[in-house]
Amino acid sequence: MKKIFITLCFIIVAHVSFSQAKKPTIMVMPSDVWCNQNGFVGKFDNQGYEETFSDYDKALLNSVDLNLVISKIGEMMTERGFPLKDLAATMKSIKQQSVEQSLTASRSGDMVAESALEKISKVAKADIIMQITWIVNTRGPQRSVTFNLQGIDAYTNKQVAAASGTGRSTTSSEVQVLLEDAVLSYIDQFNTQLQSHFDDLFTNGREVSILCNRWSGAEYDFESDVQGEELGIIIEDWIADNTVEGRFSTVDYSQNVLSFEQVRIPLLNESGRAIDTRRWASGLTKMLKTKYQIDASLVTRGLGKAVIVIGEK
Amino acid sequence: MKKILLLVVACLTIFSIDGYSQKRKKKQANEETKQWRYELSPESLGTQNSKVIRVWSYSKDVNVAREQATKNAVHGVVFQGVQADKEKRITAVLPLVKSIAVKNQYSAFFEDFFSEGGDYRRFVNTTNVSDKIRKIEKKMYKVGVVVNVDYSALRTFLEENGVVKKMSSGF
Repeated sequence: MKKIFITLCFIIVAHVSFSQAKKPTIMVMPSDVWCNQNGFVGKFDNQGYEETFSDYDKALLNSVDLNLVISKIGEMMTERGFPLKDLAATMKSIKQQSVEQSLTASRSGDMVAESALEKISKVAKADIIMQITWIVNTRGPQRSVTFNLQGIDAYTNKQVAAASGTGRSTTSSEVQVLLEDAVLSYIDQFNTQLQSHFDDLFTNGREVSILCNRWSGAEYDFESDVQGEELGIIIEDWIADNTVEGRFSTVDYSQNVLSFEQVRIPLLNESGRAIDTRRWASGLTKMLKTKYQIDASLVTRGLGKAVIVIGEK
Repeated sequence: MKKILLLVVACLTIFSIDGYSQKRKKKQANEETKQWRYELSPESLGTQNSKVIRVWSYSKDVNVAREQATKNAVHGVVFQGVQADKEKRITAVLPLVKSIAVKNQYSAFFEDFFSEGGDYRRFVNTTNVSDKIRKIEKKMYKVGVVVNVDYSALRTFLEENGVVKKMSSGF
């Protein structure tokens, strides 16, 4: 009897802890415009073209105002149950990881393997990026701050929340005080929109995109008949069956490319466990292998894009 | 001796009349508050957790209108919000309860919350900014009192009581 009771308790606890969706991570980052205007950018040569990138390290090391804004937003988001992923700590951790990786070698002298794609994707990631931009306006002795706060869903790169405006003009307050006022003024409006976004996630699922390609040497293309059905249709049907209320749109459908956008994947799988894009898309590769003996490799790009290449694992 | 007795009786009468008058005003304030006739405007930006607003209450008696101010302010912040003031460059205060369905569902909770001595008092304070009194009709005053509403604590209280959904709920 006691054993049954303990088992039941365990099942209930496990069910409750698993049936919660993954809490989105949120990170505050300065916008590219702000970095550029304040000189926190780096340049590199991209096959003859000079490209500019935001140098977050430099910005964090040099701008007191940026640190102040990030910590103020962090304080207020923590109060709402969303402690922020810290940009400075994330940048440090990425650097540390790179250093450790470059110094790690096996006994036989092999280095840690890392593909070019893996190197590129080593950037600060969060589910939602709170992008901040501000400018200090000066009119005679009067100063004011124009502030823009945008919430970007990293899965879709869509803006899911925003708040912006210009605060009071003053001759006496420091810029830091004006910035603090700006955060206080706009954070509630921003959070209300963010709440609506979360409500939408729970009702309609998380929006991701799926791209299917084929290796040039693959036996099948997407128009090939596999067990009496076109391969592209088989994939499309699987997506329709496994999205929330069958919500998705087919953007490209050709011999070599299938592209799906606005694919609404559930936050939890059938067993109530939180899932992400990779986990969800692995269901498709598994189905292709078990039902049709088609090998496929799966790569995720960022948080919200899965690329499946058929023909080889 | 007679004089002393008269003096004591007179004092007691004055005190009891004053007490009665206080009670009557309180009762009148409560009765008039039930009509929820008020207007809110932002006074200043406030601090991290609070909103400073001017609440305009209506009554035949200035003191009754003053009495109503705190309750009206919390009611307004919960159900109506406060409009932005473009001149002062103060952003709007968003209502904590936006849905009428939620308001109706928790009607018993709110009745208790806004009752005499109810929990609403924990989230509002009057300030030392002077009141504004306007006579709008022959026997009607509009009194503007500046109050400080602890918006964060109020939201947390409503979240804890299940009236307002936590932003992190479901995760």
